[in-house]
Amino acid sequence: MINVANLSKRYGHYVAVDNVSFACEPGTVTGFLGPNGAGKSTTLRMVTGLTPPTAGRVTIDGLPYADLPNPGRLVGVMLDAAAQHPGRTGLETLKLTAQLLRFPSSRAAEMLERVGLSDAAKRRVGNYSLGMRQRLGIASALLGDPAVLVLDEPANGMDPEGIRWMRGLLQDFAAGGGTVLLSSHLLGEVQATVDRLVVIGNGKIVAQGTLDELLAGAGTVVRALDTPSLAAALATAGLSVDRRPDGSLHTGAGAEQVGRIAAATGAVLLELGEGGGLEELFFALTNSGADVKVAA
Amino acid sequence: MSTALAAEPYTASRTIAPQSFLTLTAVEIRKMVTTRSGRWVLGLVMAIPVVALAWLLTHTTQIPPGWGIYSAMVMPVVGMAVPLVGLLAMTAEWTQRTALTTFTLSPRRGRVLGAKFLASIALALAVLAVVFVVLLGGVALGGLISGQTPSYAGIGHGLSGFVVLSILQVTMAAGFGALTAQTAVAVACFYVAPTLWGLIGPLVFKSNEQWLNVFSAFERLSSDRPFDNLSHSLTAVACWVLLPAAVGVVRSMRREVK
Repeated sequence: MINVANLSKRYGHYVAVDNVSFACEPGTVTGFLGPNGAGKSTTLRMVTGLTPPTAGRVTIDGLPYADLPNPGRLVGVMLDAAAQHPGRTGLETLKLTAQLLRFPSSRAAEMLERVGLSDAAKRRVGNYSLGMRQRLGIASALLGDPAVLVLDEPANGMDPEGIRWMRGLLQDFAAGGGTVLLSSHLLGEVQATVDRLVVIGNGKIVAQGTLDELLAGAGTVVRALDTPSLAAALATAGLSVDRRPDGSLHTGAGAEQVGRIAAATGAVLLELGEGGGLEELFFALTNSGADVKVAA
Repeated sequence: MSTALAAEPYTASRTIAPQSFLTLTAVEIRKMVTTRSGRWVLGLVMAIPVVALAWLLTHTTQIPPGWGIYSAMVMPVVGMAVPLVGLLAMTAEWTQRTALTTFTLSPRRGRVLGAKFLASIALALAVLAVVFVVLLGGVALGGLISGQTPSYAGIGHGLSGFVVLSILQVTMAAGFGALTAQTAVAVACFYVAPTLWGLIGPLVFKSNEQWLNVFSAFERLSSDRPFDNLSHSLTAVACWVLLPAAVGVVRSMRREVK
């Protein structure tokens, strides 16, 4: 549905996006991850026709975005929830979109109802909180009953209830055959929401695949009563072991192998599990070494 | 979490009707009248003739009611204020960052910008039509109050002159808006720069400054002898109206949307 092929963007000598290719299929939620400045937003702007690529192309449903007859009817886009005029009411904002997308004016109130903003319909957007603007942006993106959603940081500024609501909404949308491409910094949220991941660092794609595939190689984390002797036992068995700042050990081996070694040496385990989630994978892939220490 | 569902490929985009230019223009007009700043400008424009008429109607003994004098007092001020709506329509997209939404919903920017120019002119003409009716009513009321027979001389020409003038001024203001993408800078360019030229130009270029005096050009083109000094008028209009609008459109088409 969304097809990104060899996409590059240069600003002078600076390469913001470097030969990026990926595809998003109907019925899936694709998470687009990367540190600040990695090229996420530039890529999403190229997907939605706002920025012309230096090389490569993007098609949605087989057409470049700018060639879609009325893009909002096929692709719901929210790149920045703050990009709404603060001097206009939420209801009027959506009525404008409805008029452009040839929906009846009553659609605006329906959409406000759907995102839980009915009470704020007559208030100016300037008085909305960031979470409310995100909801308004989602309402605007969904107004044209699209088959595709492209969202940049949709959960940004939302409270936990709002984040859970957003997760349900996106998963329902995909379950109905929709295609979702979203970027996010909230790794836990991404892990709970997406089916597929595209990870970008320094403008290049560093990994892509299903969430399960990418997390499969994450290794094992183990914590023992006597950590140093377990570390020695693992090393003796030929495994590479990292000691992590929280006192646990990380190794590339599977949980079963680690458990057997521990049993054989009589070590008392306090914890044995998958080698960290998306956060570890993210930092490993994007080389944000400085951030790892802060995060740990 | 769901794995990929085998959904039918979505090909409905081929059957969706494209956005018509008329729809784009209607949406742009609606955008101008639904923001608080837009409503302030329109309210101000409407307040000018009402306040002026209130004063005129209490001074009918000194100023006999007539179309000529009433419109001469009101229309130039209205004519200067109306173009602000078009200017704001251009700059707000960038200062309020709504360009991001506008140009994702309508990625062919040239059509949006064209719709903005047309919408600004249409709205200005609609406002002027209302002001005209208010003025006409004022003149008639002045006649009733003072017992004099009001004069409507010059009304036909006044109409066409103000239509020409507003089209030129609105295009100029919207052009500066598209060019600068900054409300304050565009307002300064629109109101201050031609005035500065009117002051400095004659000192430096003597009578040659007429080639670039846009106010004189507007005055001539909207007068009952629009073809006097036509080469001067056209040069000034090309320089102050067409050039900023053309460069503004090109810049807005290429401007990076953040």
